[in-house]
Amino acid sequence: MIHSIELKDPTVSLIVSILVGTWGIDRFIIGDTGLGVAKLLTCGGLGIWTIVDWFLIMDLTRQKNMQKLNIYLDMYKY
Amino acid sequence: MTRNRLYLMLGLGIAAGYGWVIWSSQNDALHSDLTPCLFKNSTGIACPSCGSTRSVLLLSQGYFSKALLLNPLGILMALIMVIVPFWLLYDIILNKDTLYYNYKKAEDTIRIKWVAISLILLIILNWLWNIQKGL
Repeated sequence: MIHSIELKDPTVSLIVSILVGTWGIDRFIIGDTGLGVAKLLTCGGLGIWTIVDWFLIMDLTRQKNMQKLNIYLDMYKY
Repeated sequence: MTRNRLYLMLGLGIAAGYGWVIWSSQNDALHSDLTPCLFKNSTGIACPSCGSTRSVLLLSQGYFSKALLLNPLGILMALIMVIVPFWLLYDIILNKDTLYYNYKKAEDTIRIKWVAISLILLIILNWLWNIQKGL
């Protein structure tokens, strides 16, 4: 069912990214676990990746939401 | 994330990592207070991965136990920095996707609840240790 899809709010990811992005928590919540670990281990990519993600995270969240919706829509295509 | 995108990011990340370690070793990072860490610069408190550059530098000079005591995450980072470039080259030259497959598998393993909770606890413990050491 479409209700069971866990969509993430882009604004929430942005707030998380600004507050605890250095530890990769923003990447973890949008489902990029591997990159989250990388960000955590490198202190947010020496701080640079943290700042870059402030600008990318909202679009990334929307893309992830779209991917989840597409999987659902493909299942009920036929 | 596609295979090629992951490989590009890993390649750039590893290159940046080596660049950072070489720059730090030439600027005597072991005895300097300069840090790129946003958290430490804004709060004055060490973050979970603070000290890992110094740990990698100590390891490169052969001081394994000193590196482990400074920050065990440095050992993990050094292992990644040594293994991943070869793995990456192997996959690219032979046009395989073993690294991508294992990355996905590792992501799935980390997402298992008890694994995730144990890892988070370890990171928090290491963080408390970092603060106690005054890194």
